Amino acid sequence: MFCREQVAHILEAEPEIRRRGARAIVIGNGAVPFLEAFAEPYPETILFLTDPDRAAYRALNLRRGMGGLKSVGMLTSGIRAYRAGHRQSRTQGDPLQQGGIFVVAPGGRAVFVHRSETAGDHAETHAIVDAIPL
Amino acid sequence: MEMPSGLVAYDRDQQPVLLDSLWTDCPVVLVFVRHFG
Repeated sequence: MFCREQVAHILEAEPEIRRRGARAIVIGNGAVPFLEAFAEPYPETILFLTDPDRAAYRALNLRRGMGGLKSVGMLTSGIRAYRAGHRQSRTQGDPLQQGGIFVVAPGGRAVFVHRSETAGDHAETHAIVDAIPL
Repeated sequence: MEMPSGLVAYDRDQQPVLLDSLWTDCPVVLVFVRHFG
């Protein structure tokens, strides 16, 4: 549910992301065959990839776990996502893995970094878009 | 921060993609989702 919500936010911002000369790329950690089913509803302008070994997640220090006390915020986030029409389907991937967002400039410098503390802890979309170097 | 190099992910055709190759020419918004679900 939170994964779909996060992609929905990026999808909404995708025209502006492209206007700024950037591309949106979504990476998950489910097995390769599940990538196709997850990505199917979305336009091909967004590149979907998977990292089944979570090597990139580890290299980028993305959190793994429930988030301790911060996981209390999941309830609020869950209500928000549910009201927006997002539903939890069968999990394909590591259920304890948290996500994150990186805006990467040409050459490989990350100019915006958000590592989710817990499920539903997403960066503000406008902050992501504003960080794209022009 | 500098992005680590040499990382690989897989596309819908199960082909490996070197992440470094994604940001050679243009900026990217790289979204890591928790899982597919």
